[in-house]
Amino acid sequence: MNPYLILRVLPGASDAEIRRAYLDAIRKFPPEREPERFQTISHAYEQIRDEKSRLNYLLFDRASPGTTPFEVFKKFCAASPLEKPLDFEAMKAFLRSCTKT
Amino acid sequence: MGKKHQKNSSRPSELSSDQLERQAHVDMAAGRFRKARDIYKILCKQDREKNLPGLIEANRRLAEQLTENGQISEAEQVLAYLKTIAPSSIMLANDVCFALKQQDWQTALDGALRLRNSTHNEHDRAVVADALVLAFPNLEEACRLAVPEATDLAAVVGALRCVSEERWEQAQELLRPVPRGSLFAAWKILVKGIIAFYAGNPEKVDTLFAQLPPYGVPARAANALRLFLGTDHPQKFDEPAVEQAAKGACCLLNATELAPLLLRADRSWRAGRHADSYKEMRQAPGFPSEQPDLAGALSDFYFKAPFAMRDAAYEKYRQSFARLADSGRFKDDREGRLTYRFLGCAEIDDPFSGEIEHFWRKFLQFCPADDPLSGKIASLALARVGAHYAQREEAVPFFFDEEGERMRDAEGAIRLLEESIESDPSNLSAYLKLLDVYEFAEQHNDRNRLLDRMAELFPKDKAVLLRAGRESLKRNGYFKGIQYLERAHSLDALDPEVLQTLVSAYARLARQYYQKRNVNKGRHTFDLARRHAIRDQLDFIRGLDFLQALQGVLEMTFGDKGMGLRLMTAARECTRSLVALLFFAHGNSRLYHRKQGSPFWAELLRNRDQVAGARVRKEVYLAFEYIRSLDEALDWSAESAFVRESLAPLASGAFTRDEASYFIPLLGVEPHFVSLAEAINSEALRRDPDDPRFRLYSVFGRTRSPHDLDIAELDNIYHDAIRQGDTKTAELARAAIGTAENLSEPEDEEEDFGLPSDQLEEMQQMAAQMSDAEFEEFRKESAKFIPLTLFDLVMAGVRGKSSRRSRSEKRQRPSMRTDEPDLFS
Repeated sequence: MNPYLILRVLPGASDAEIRRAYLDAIRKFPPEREPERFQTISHAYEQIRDEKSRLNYLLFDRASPGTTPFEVFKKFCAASPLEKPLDFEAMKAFLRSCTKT
Repeated sequence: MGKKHQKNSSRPSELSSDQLERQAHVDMAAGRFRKARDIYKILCKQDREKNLPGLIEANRRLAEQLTENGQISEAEQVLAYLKTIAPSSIMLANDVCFALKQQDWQTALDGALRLRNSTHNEHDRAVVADALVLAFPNLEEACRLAVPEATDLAAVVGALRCVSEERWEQAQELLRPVPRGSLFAAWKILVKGIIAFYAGNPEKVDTLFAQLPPYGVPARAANALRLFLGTDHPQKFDEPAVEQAAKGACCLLNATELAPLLLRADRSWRAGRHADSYKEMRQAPGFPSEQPDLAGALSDFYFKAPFAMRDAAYEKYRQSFARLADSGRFKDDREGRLTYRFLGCAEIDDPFSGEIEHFWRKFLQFCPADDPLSGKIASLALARVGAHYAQREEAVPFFFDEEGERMRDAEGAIRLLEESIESDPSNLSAYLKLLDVYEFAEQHNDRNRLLDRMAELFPKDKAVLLRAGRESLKRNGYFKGIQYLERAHSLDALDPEVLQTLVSAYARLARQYYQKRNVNKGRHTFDLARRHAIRDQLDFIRGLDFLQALQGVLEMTFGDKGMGLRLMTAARECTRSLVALLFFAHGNSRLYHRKQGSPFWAELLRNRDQVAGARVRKEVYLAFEYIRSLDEALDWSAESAFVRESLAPLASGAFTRDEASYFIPLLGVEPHFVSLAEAINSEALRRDPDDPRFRLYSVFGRTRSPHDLDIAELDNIYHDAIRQGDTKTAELARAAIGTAENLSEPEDEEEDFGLPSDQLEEMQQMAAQMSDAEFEEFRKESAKFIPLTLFDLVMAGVRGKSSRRSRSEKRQRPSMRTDEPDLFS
């Protein structure tokens, strides 16, 4: 999965911002409690920790984020938890969209 | 005949009622409502009372499906039929469902109010609750509604509003009075689940959502939210439920328009129609993307997944993008960039790629010119292509290789790497690679110039300084070399590689001073070298004993003999291996006297009986190897004899297996010591005839050419080594088997390509003498009687490595051709 998404930083983020996001993430998911998540976060950090790694990732990374589009979608959803609830109108739209099968 | 096929070939009328019921359930779950309805019709003929509910449900779902697909008239026909078999309450429920699907909230609300009083069916009650909530009446409106649970409705709607405003406690308070048996109980659970979801309590979310009935809006909304928990629940749902969850999740991600495309694209992908899948997804606005959003994740997938595909699927997919690139009909620059990036990455793996440079240059054309990183991006891309050209061609493994290494395209590599450095002068890896290529191409002046430039540009890079130091020493630039090495040493005072090279540099400079009779400078240089000397280790360069011995020899030869003797005495006192030290001093002394013997030779002979244990034997051999490396041209026969005699006891049994394993391969390649190696091996085999290591050495010893290797014998040794856990021997045996097998295969050049060999030879001779233009003409003419792919193969060795095929021809390799129409046309 996209390392920017895992660390929740924008592609234009600086080294310091990325490091801060990494430290926040590993504080939230320490290795003793969430070893797999920690590994994912560490790998993501290695991929974009400095400009050279970021450019190498941009140009040459070949690791597919999944095996099917839907699997990628599921992983994307799992990696991007909704932090804030929808506003009331959006909530209405969401619930109303659930009437369609 | 396969089971699946048998099932399909049976007509419904031939199946038992149990089988039919099962099939109807399966079809319903899979969303094949028309088929399910037909089966229920048959079942109703057998038992109407039992199967009528199934028939009604199948018709209802079919009508819903047809409506959603926009097949309104067909839906109306189904509904007309439904009216003839279903009670009025079901028809009313159906009308409410339709109104909900058509987003007609007022009609749904009106219908729900009427249905509320005429049904006790749980499913229909859920429809009523959904219609009432989704009308989102405010408190006053809710209280005016003619339903007993109006306050519950107001509470649920109010709680939803509180949730959207992050007023969690108030939402909980509002929900508290709603009883478990309320019409809105499922909605209460959903809202509580949403609160737990945003509170980051996935376990509670799971527990709450597990209490929901499987039908109705709350269940569907819960399924969508579950996707964000990262659990695998959706896999347990049937396909329509998964799709519904995906649609809901897209809505939550504010990417509603992606949902239908994603689902269609997923189906195509899973059916193996990968390019079709991309084509579906491509219709989505904002796709492809390079942002960390959903479109970006899917773009990542479509441009990276092929690297994990099987060959045929990968090639087909790659070709579809190659065709898109050829047509140039990209959706936008992003697609152009990602397409060329994919094609460029795909070429990196292909050693025969003729297009890698083309693809990466096109990629760069699609990069925004005003991007401040464009220079660095160009530099990295060009350096990668340069590195591809600079790849060494695989040499035949093992020690029989005689061909030496080749580089794919040294000229191309230099051109690309120089351009890469020009694009970004701080790209260190491009410099290092270029240095390798210059070295390989023996462009020493260019290499030296580049090294000096690198040392200026990267004054704090230890690897660069070490390399610059080494290269300066190679061309006898001692001062410059030492300067570089001292700088590297100041960056990392403990790096043993830097220290070794630095001491070696000082020792070489000191030698030069002594030889030029500049003894004082020589002494001072040795003082500098001794700062980094080590004790208690056999080290011919940094060992204090060896440094003192070297200076002693130089003093005795060019300076103060007395001082030289004192230094030798000091060296003798601190050495751990007197024989190795004497050998070292003797060898160095001979370098300057150029004659047999030295002041140390007699002492060396007197001490030969000290060469008794395995350690000393090894040290003496290493000392011999070292001094011989100082001047290979000198006659070292007396010293060889000394070593041979020192090691001779090995052949009579005084050795361990490890020692024999160490010496046999070393001695076996030295003409002076071959007989000794054979004797040691024979002795080892006498002790243990089954030892695979010495059996393998025996095979190598008697094999004069890799063509003579006995594969069967090697195979036996390999398996015995595996059984005995001797992995090193197993690896060696396997490498030897590989070499023998490679050599036993006919070489490409000997293939006749189905044509008479004399005709082929004649063609090749003619081609070799042609100009490029003539050759092109010849190629065109030849196409009349020989396929061009074959022609190019025949001429590959004659006309150099460059392929004569055009890019489009190359792509349409016969075995890879796809009959699919151009997906992007």
